[in-house]
Amino acid sequence: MLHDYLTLVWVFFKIGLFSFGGGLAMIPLFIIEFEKQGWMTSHEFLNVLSLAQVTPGAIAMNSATYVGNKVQGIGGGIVATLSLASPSIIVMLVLSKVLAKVKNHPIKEAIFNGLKPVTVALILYAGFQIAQTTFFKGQTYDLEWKPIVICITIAVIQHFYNKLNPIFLIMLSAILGMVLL
Amino acid sequence: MAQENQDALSSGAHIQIQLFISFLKVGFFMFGGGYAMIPLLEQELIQKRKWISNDDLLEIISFSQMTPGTIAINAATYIGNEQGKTWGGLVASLGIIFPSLLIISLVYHLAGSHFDLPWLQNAFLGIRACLVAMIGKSVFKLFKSGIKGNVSIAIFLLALIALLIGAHPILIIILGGIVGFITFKITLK
Repeated sequence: MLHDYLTLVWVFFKIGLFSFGGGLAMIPLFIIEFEKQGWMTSHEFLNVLSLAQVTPGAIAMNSATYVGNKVQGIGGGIVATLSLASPSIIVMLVLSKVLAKVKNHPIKEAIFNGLKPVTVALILYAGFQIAQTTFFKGQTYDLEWKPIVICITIAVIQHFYNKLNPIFLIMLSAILGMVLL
Repeated sequence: MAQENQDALSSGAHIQIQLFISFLKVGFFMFGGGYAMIPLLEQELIQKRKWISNDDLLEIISFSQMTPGTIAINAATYIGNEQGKTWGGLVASLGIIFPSLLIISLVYHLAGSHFDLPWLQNAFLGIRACLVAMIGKSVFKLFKSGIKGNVSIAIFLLALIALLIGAHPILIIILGGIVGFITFKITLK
């Protein structure tokens, strides 16, 4: 049993440490490791992934909690999730202290002046990708009208009520989704 | 009522408790991956707590996507550390992780593998439609605060084209950093 926990720690810590570019970069590593450990087939994992997307929280963390629960119960879920998160936390704690020291250094400013436009492009691209899977039917170019109506409704509301909490908009759109779709 | 109690508690409370509550909230309403949480961070960290500015947020996200792990946890650790030292970083990260632990453990033990519920899928489709509108607004704001001058606009357009033709995000991030560094060197001479 201790051995099972240690395997969970090792597998998730390793994935957490070696994935760059956000949670989505972890998915291929998950599939390889879970099959290797005999925890889950790739087909099963894709089901877990669709659950991890519709529930709140980071997708990678949700997947880790699910798989940990499957392998070792609640304790396994906690161990897997914390193991996946801890490399980020450790690395970030160290790096943010370094970054604070060079906060106004011209070279740091210059590098971030190049990074910031790339980040805005990445955020916009993430928006495109969500739009693509939301507004079109499957792999076709047939438009799904109801999600488009929801999107326009939310866009109009947030334009006129600038200070509205996005949590309210998320809950409203979930209800609209259940009623309309 | 619950909201009022929570706000009363957090306004006078220790910074670490504020951090935990803020990131717990973001975690509970975060759908659709790292970049989609930006509107929530804007509301909670910029408008409500006034801990950071729009430009800081863009810088934090830029940094968080280059370090290992999920953007959400990296950003939480960074902001937590800045506001409340090492403990602040730890509690902020735990705050954003906790909803995953709670909800997924409950779903696993209550629903098992039968979670293919049509109403849940429809609610999520509604949320995704909302995310498109919210991300659009965030991009507009971040563009105004973070992209100044022709070089920045050129980097933005080139990065977007590269992403659309399928280039790897990490490669584009590294190139962006290099271009920033080179333009700095040129302006020095």
